[in-house]
Amino acid sequence: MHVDVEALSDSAVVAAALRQLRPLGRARAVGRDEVMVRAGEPVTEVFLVQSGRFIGFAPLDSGVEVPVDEVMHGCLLGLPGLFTDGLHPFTVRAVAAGEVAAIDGGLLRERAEKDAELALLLVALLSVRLRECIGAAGEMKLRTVRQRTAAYLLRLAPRGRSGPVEVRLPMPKKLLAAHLGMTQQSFSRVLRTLRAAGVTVRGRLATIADPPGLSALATAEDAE
Amino acid sequence: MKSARLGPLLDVLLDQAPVQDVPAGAMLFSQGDPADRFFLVVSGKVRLYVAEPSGGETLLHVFSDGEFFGLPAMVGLKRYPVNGEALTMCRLVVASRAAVLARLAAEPGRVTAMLGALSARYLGMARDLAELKVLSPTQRICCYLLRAADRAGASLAEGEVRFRLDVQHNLIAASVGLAPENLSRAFRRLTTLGIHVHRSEVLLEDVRRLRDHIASAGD
Repeated sequence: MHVDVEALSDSAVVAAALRQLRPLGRARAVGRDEVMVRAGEPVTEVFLVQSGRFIGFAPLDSGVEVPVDEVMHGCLLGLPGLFTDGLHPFTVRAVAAGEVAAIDGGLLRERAEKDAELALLLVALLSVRLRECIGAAGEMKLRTVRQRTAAYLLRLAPRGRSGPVEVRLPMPKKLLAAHLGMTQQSFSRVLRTLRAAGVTVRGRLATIADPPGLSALATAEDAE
Repeated sequence: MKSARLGPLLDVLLDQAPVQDVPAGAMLFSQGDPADRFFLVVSGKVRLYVAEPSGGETLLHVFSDGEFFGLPAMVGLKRYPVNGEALTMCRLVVASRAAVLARLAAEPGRVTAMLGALSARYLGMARDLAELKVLSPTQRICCYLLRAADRAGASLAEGEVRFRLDVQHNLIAASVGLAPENLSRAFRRLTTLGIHVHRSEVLLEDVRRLRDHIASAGD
């Protein structure tokens, strides 16, 4: 029996966030490609993601904006900025339509100072984000572009499947390439080399013929 | 998760929490027990596992010195979903839910400080991740040196800067995602940009050249 203890922990935190924070906000639909916030804007509201998929782009001093954060249900957009300098650190764009609960930033701060349960939940939410970020940085340092691509495709697939599985790439290939830390040309080359490992991609649809085999490739110690 | 990554957070959550020594084989909690505590391993090893219907066990994770566990269950679940057992003689800091909540309620000012520290840590990691994705190794080293100079109190307006590194080269290599031997080679290449590193001594001949080199990312 496979049990992923981190996923189990994270889903507990996500469930608690949806349960406790949703009543504080007002529902708002978000269209695909909508820019939710821009880096540097004041955090007047934070957004509890209920559905959809969002990418956070971190601005570098050179002006380049780099995708660093992929956010889905149960995440709270804008939380780090609320408790640092009061400004959004990332530009956040929806790559899939969804719904958020918009929560007044001042209200959330005030509640966190008065309600220890809520404060602890925010700690847990930030801990999940931090752990994911540390994991992504570790992958950038230790894994090849091929391994990172394989690992990302596997994360899109249902857990524990041994037979062939189809997944849909959740964003355009150019953006996904940048998210995985490579150029679009490199990404295309990587996808071609992954054919030998049973991965075929047509448009946004990818087929993984042998998930356990791809998993072995993604986690192999001998990074090529 | 390593406690060093979340120092300020644990300072608040574990302040005044009792230390317990437990023998090897002691059960810390069982599947289905109320999730009312979380643990920091001071020394020893703790395993988390689940019991299978067939009677076997599946090992999930082994925690060791400096790692903590049980916090997400305490926050998000009413009961532990797994078993926790001391694999060796362990020294643990044990923080109960009631004590943590009482501490946070008594000192609301520490709540925002704690969330601020955790947010800043996350944003620093996100910045490092962005740099890993788009900057070359020499550009990442330049970013690192500028931040190290800033930490050392050097003026970074323009011109020449001298300062001492506050960590060893192998840690710098790990931070910028290079093998230690590649860092040494990169330092040698950077002399063409007026960057000279000798052990902990650093001379940047012209800060502007570093900034220009970093800014060429994405060109």
